[in-house]
Amino acid sequence: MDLSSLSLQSNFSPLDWGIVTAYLLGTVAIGFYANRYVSNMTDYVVAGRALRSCLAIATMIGSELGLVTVMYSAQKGFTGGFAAFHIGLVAGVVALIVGMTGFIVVPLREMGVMTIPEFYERRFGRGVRVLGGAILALAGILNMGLFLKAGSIFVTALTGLTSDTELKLVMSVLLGLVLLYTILGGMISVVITDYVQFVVLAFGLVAACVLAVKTLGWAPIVSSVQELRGAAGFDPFHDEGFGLTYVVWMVFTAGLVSCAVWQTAVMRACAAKDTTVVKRLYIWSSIGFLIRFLIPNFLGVCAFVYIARDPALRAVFLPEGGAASSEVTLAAMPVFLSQILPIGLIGLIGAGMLAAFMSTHDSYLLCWSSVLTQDVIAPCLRRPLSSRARIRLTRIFIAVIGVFLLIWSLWYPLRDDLWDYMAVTGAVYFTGAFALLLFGLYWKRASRAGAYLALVAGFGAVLGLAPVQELLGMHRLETAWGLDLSGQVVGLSAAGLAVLLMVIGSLLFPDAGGGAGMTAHSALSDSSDDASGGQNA
Amino acid sequence: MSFWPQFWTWFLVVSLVLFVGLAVVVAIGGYFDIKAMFRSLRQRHEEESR
Repeated sequence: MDLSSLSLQSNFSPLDWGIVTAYLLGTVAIGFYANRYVSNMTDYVVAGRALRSCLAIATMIGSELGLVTVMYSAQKGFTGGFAAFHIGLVAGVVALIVGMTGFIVVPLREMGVMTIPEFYERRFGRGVRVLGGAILALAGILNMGLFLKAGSIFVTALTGLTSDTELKLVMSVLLGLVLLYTILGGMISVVITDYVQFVVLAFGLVAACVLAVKTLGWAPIVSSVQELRGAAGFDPFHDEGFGLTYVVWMVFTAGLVSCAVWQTAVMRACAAKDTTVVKRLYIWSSIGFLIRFLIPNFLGVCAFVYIARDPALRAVFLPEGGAASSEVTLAAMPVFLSQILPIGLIGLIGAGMLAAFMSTHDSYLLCWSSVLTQDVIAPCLRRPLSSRARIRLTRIFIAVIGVFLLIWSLWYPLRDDLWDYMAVTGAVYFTGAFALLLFGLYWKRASRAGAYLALVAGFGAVLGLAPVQELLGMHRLETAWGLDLSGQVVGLSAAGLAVLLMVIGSLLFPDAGGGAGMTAHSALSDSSDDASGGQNA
Repeated sequence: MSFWPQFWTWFLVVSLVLFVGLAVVVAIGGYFDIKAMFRSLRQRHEEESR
């Protein structure tokens, strides 16, 4: 993606660079400061379980309203129009229902687990924990594989550094900053920066929306989408747009999985002070779950309208007779912001977005590296690892994953929208995890055999990735048998299969003795083997 | 104006208003929660070091 031929003049000025530099230096300083308070794995991973309601809400929204979320949601708004708003709607409604009922998250917090695989062990045994942890970490690392690319596209498009070389340079610098910051502070520094980021981005993004409407006008935005996208630009069920299957897929992924199954969100529930805070956290965060899609969706719609009016931009972003590549449409929103935001505000939003990028990146790095330490390596060792050794191992994993991310961002050809790539890679984990959580928490007869089968079935969601389909020649099946093998169909099928195999496996191969007949509550009271090394509060 | 454009217009306005309200409350409350978190962590470290 090289936009240098457009000769775009960004509003980003030296003053804005100053704001960004000061903000980032302040963030790293917070990492150093917070490091003083980290003495064990609970401090490092769940901030000593000391989060109260407002801070828990700010960090939950701050962590989820990251730069990458803003980028992929804006891309969905750009390519799907107002109809993309359905993603935010289902995300908010499902998070609200989870908050009101405590579905999945309350029993998990009651158990005092730090990670979902830790729940697997208490409910299904150590083998399920190790397999589930490995699948979770693999899916999670693949899922964040393009964060670096998305972040760098944002920075370069916003600041006017549009050549490929500058993009790669920015990627490397961003990665270095994130690694330094995450390795230093762990969850305590993440919590503080999530809070600062929440405050800056909440008000910055709302201001950007107001400015966008002021620049383009509300009625022209609606009429332009109507003219260029037709009914599919508004109706999410329209066959030429998203369609019913996609909406159902979003209810599952953007709705239930995002807030109650995805490890980074569940970690916030695990870090809450008690179950009352967990429920309050989800009820209030439902607005955040909605907004994190809605505002960027809207900025993407505005970028679409702005670009459609400019012949030079239109030739690149909306070429006649075909669609622009995913990397190009990702750059649409930041290019739009670089043209409409005034000096000062563009620096503040740029700094907030960069902090959001670091915050999301470090949350995810911390999450997947701690899963590898706690759930894959530690349970396989004969001697329990000390808390210091666990922190050291987690930090090593953070560095190794960081190097992988740089290589993956440079190598992987992004063919789908970024959000669809993330939904499919995430599905490798969450389709199986959903079955284990649902039946493990609420069905006494769920067994170890059923759990293994569900995890393996969920792994099948990897077939939804475009490069995997090409590698296996699955397009021939689509042509020959008229099958729909889109990511959402493969993902929903994997989820259905995981649920089915969980039930069949549990009925055919029930656990002998202690495992069968346990729900989360009995697992809590019966478990004497805490593989986390006794760090749970 | 047909159903969907009107629906999304109101949905966007109501959501933004709710979010701004939440952001103000959480920004103020979160500041005091950070102070409480550090106080709690400091106390625990002091107890552990005794």
